[in-house]
Amino acid sequence: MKKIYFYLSTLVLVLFVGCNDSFLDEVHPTKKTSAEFLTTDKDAQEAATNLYSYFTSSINRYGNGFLATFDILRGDELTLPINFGSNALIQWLTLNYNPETTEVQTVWAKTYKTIFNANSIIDNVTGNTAVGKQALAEAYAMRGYCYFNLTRLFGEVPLMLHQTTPDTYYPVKASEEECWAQVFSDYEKALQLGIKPPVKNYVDGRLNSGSVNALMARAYLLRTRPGSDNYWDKVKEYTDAVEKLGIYELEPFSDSLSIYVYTKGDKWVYNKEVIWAEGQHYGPILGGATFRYDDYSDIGTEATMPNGLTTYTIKNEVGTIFLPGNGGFSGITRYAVSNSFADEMIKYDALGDKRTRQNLYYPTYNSYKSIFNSKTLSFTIAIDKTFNAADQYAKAKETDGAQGEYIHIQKYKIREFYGKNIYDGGWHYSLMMPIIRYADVLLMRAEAEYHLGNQSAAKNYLKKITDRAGFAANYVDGFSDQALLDEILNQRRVELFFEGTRFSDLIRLDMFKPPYVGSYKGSQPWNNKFSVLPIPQRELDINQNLIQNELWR
Amino acid sequence: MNLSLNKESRQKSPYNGLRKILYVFVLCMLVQLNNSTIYAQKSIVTLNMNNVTIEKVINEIESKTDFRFLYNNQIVDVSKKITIVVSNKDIKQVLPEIFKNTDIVYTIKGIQIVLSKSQKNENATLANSKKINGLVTDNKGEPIIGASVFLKASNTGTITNIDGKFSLEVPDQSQITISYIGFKQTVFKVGKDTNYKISLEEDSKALDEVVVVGYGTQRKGEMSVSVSQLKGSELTSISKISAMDALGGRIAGVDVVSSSGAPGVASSIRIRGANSITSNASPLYVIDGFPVASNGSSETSRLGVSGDATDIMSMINPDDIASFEILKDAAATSIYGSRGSNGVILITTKSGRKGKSDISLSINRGIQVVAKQYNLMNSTQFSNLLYDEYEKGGINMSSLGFDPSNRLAIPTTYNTNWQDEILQTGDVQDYNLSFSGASDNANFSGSVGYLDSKGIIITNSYKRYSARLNTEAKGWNGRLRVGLNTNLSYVDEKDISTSGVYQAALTMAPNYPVYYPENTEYAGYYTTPDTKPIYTSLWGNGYGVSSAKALLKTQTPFYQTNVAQTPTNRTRAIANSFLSLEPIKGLIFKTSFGADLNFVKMKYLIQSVGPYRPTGGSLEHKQDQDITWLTENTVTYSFSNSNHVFSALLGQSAQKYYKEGLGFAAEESSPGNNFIGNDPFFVDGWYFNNGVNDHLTDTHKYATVDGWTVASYFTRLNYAYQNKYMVTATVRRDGSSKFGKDSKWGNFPGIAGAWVISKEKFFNTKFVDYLKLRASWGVVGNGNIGNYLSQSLLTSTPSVLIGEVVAGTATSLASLTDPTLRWESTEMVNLAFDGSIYNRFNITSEVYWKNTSDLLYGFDLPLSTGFSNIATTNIGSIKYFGVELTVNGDIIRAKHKNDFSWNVAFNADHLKGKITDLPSSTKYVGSNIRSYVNGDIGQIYGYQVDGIYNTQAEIADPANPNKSASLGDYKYHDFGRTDKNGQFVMVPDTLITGADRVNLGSVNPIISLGFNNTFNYKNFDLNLFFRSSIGNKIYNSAKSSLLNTSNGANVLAEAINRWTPQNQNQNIQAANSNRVDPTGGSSPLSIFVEDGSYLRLANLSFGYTFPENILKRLELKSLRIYSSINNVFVLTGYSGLDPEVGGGDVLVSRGIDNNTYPKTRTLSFGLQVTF
Repeated sequence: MKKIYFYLSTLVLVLFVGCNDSFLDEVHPTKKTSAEFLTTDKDAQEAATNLYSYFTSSINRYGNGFLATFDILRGDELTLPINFGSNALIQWLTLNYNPETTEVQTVWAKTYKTIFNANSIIDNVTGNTAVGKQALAEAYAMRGYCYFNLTRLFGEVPLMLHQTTPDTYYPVKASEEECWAQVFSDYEKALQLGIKPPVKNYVDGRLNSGSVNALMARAYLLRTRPGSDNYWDKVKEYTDAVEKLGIYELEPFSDSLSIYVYTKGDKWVYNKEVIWAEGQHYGPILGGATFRYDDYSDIGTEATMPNGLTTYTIKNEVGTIFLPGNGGFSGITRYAVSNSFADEMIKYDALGDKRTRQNLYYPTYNSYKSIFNSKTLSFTIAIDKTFNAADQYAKAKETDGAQGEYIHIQKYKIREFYGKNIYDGGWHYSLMMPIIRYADVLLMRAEAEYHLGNQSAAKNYLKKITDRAGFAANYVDGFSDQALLDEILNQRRVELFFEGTRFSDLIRLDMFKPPYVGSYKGSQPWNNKFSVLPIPQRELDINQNLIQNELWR
Repeated sequence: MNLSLNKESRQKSPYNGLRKILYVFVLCMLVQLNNSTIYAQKSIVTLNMNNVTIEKVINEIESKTDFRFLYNNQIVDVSKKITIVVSNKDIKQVLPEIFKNTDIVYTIKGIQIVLSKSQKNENATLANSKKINGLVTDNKGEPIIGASVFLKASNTGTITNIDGKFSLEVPDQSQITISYIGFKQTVFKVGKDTNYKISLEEDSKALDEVVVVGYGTQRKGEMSVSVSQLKGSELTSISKISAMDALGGRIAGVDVVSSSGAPGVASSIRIRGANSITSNASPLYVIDGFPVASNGSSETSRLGVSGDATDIMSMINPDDIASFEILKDAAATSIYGSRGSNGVILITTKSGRKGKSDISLSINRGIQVVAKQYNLMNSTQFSNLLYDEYEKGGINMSSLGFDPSNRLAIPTTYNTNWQDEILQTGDVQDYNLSFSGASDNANFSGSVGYLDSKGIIITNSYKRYSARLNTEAKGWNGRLRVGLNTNLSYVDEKDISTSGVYQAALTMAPNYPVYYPENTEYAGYYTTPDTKPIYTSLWGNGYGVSSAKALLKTQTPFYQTNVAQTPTNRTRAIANSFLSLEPIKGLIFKTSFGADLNFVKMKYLIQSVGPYRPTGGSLEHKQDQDITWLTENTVTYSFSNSNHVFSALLGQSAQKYYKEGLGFAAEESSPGNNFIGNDPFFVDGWYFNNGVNDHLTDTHKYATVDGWTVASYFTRLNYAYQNKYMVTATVRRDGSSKFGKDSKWGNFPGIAGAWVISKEKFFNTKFVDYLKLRASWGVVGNGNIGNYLSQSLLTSTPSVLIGEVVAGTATSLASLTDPTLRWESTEMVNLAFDGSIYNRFNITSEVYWKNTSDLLYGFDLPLSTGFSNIATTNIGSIKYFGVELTVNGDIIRAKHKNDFSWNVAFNADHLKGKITDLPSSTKYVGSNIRSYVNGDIGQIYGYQVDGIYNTQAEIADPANPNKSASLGDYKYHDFGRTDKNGQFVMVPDTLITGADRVNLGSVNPIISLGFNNTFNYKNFDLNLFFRSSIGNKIYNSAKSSLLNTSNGANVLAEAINRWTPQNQNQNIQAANSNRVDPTGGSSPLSIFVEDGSYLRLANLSFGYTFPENILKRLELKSLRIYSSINNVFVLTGYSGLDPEVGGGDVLVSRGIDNNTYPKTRTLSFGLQVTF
């Protein structure tokens, strides 16, 4: 009997020691952890691919994006119709922004997030393999682009050059000079590492030697200020490098709209002009990243224009899409062109510039009405009125839009690939927004050549732009000296209209001030501080080492 | 003999009504006696002991045979040394040997040997003595065996025999004390009579009460740690879905706040304040020894459809709960080590009690109504408001076709009270059938329950089916015990976003009819402002476009209730089995294994069909299963004699949680593309894969996995000397998978001591019957955080680049993590006393100081780090100081059973906390409710409103901080600015910025009170339970948004009196749809911060217990009927619906009235019958 107790007791005691340390190991059943990351070529590739998530959802340049907000709305290209419903947009046009404005924080956060991801690669990938080296080069190039955005928007920002550690939680600001130096050195490092060259006729959204050179030229362009010629040689050097790649050319005007298209149905659209672009994909969140359509629609499209510009476009009988004016079928917000810009466009229109009719909802258009059938719950479209160009413009000028007569914008009208996704049956559409294109490179080059004293070279580059736009072959011959520079800048304004370059141009030309900006009804009194964004309040609250930009203190 | 005993009691018992009970009792005795004949066959002993105490001999016999000695060591002296040598002798022959030459006499009852002092010897010493006889019974008349009967202040005494009888030779006029565990000690004076009947009163609060303390029980009198007990029976009259609902205000230091009144939604419980900032500060729940994994997080789906957090307790039938024990101080909770810092709630379900075999039925039916509603604008008032809002907002209303003369923006044909439309009278039905029984060697207790609750918001319903069976069997002469506790429940709920529905009902324009009227196109369908066709169909073209623009596009409240379908089923099974073995008396090995299985199925469907068309149909279907298993092994040794009570515990446990979930979700991208309804894979709206080419890709399907493990070793020593000095020491060592590779283990010690000062000779304060001083210290931990936080997981998503269908996979780090993540630990010192005065009141008062360090805190980081915060790290500390007072007692005590009596239980607590350390960059935690470093926790921070701008001159004033204000806007006070170094300075900067937010008051009450009154008269009982909170502030966010006259939503009717140039009301802003609010609109404003003090009669119940004579006729054991009202009234100055507002932790989110689910009043009737 006693023995049984003894054995039982021993058995129970044995149970006490049946637990070893591996019981506490925490291994996620499906996900890898940081410890295993960036050890292989595959990791490096995936991490490099991830850098382009910079251009998703709220970060992208056009679709509800911050760059659209800062670069387009703060320029001199737009005005506001009456009863304009969106306060979110008014705040930018009227310079009503401050350190607590959400979008300011968003750009800051998203950009630094991308910098962190680039730093992960820079810190951990050795570059001993071709794949690793390419990933490293892309990481430097993307970090350069991120600091380019931060520096031009905020002036001076902290430089985060390694993956965050507790020691670098609270960085201090670098000077504006140091920030620009970082942009140049990162781009340069990407080139030194031998970032892959571009493929002719093909844009895949990744950074390559073409885009890095073009971005370098743009960075030096923005670094220049009136009266300074420090960087014109650099602009020339890097635009020249782009040109020497020999693979970019302007698309013929008839096809120029293809700079916005990259898939049509399941077909890739080739492109010679776009140097770097971001892709946009719209659809249900669950649609995932599938871009192949089995059935795409031509009939009516839904487009997301720059921030808040959600609107409905309807295809007319000749296949051109227009935006309905006030009095259209729905109370939806629309942008209108500023008077000063309309003046430029109309002046060029008389000289044969085809871009006006392509980009503006002017001079002659039909107004359509929609008829809603409440039984079938569908709309049918019919012509309501036809507007005469001259009358329309005169009326707009005369009333300053008071009666709701505006010249509206229709630059982004390519939405033809809206279709049913074969994978999930959901509806999606996709489009491409150029970040930099060859026309920009040519215009930068023209400006650089002018400042370097080579007016004839400048004219040669400018002529490529005017020729394509439909000006007379000898159009540029009549310009020289200041008139030539003015023409280059005017052409730049019209050619790159609504693509987000104008605000930066105003800054570098010292034109970001009245009467160019700040004249809209309800604008904040002009102050030079609006030329930079304030450091977000949250950042200042948390990081005691950070001091607000002097202009905003 | 047995028969004659039966006969005797039948003839002599004065309690004829108790005949049946006695009969049952006697039957039990028969079983016992029968058993004794079997045991007797094994009653042969062999002893060879030289010069040892009788006590040792007794212990030896106990260890070798089945016999158990029963004696009172204060009467019977067993310290005498004897020598005994016997071989293979029957016990009956051995006993005379042992007790020869002593004053001990013995009787054998079955396996029990009762020892008592020989009366003859005593007689010689007593003068004027006489022999008295007595019968000791419990209050139901059942005889008590083994009760101590003492001559007061002497060693003279005896114990009652099997019939509950005693006889004793005592002096005249002497006082006799009778005591027995679980009963109040009774004293009577010997008078002329020689026969006495003494009925002992059961004493639930007596010191001998046994309290569950985690891995064991302890007599309350021997305890030195802080544990509060609440009996399940105290809550029976209260209609409830979850036992948590009834817990609020009952125990000092336990704070229960319900975030929503919706059935089955978790309340937030904090014991002695929130220790933690970001990690979960909920206590650990231990059900019948099984620590249940926290399932308090809300179920979030892929589509973002989230149900409310599920209450763990709602899965347990409240009627099954025998008691709650709440471990409060660190010395008590340290036995649960790393999970002890937020307190531990031990829940013990009912088990069979020996001698009782009951079948009980309880029925409760109740109705629920909304306690208070908002008074909102009617359609004419609202239409006028809209006109004002848009006109002031710069919209040319006449150009839009509105008539400035009558200022009606939209038609006022209809006037719908949306609150009435979505609210209903709720209904609760609760049925429970329970049964229990016990014999010497086995006991069981079980129940089946059904609860059906219809919420006060239409279509919100909750049904629970529950079953429980607790069994235990003994074998091997009581040395081996095996038991199994099982709890099963199945909940079927129509889970809706109740707060969403309610918000929609408050904000929706009253101008819509509920349904499209007859003769319109969509007659019979719900109206909604979501799409334009509805306007046209309802109000014609005249109002169409413009009214669509003017109205807030709020969802119809029927969207969630009638269009969306969200059935959720939860199945939970908790089973815990154990085996224990007692090889030597007092030494018990116990091993247990249990599992908690939780299965949740959730569906969600919105179909975009009909004229009421949401922007996209969506569907989700998911199933989660989690299982927690637990294995524990303990060894305890306990020993006690007249002076020493000692017990030691050594144990080990391992627990593992694993969760798997699968789901799919799909959405339409545009209205009218009704792929769900038309898809052949959906049957009756739900998805079924019929094997045909599946449209759903990986992007629609998702899986979740999650898990953690905890391993522990623990030990505890209890020692009490003469019931006067006692000490408890505990150490637990815990390891958790959640922490860093090298910091998984933590040690959690606790020590407590107590001194019953009233037992000391020098203590002669007359009115104090009992006084115990306690002190404890301990360190406990908290690891209540998510999983995989010490390592950064990688996020991989398919990536899209231009020109490629799918460019590949994009991978990045999901978060910044701390690889050295470790335990959050709380050190607590507790000083207390337990006292009893005037033999009437029991008082416990405690004071504690606690300091939590290494806070598990995911603090905000500058965004320049790439992240907005660090997932979780250890930084910072919080200190608390608290005082608690509990008083129980009888204000009026019944002299006779039917007299009037009044018993009270009062508790009060006060708590003060401050954060003493945070990361250097963080000055405070929270946003609207802030806790600053070195400041008091839970302060409301917002803008001070100095009135309203009445004139343009006020706006134009250079000192005015809000230049873009319009007439009729709030005037915010400009306090200061942030200087170049980021420091706040009290220099107005003529701007309204975050720097102008100031402290508007504390959400912490100065004191929280609970006051329970029980009145008994004859067979009636009345219970009044009051709850009160004094001195706390509430930010009435609900009112702030219901007075928002700028966004097209309906508002409170009092906004008729809003600011206009003619009526310069200084409290309600003018209507203006284009208001520029420099505060951003979501911060508290001083005018909406109100005093939240209240006194609530939380429960009133009135019951009637049928008397014996009726019971006898009905052949029932007991029968009680009652009626109960929850939330009878609340006295408060607070202007919102109810001063008890929902919310989370006091540090960051408590005290904001967000207007979720309106508070209800419940009226219920119930019946409790025992067969």
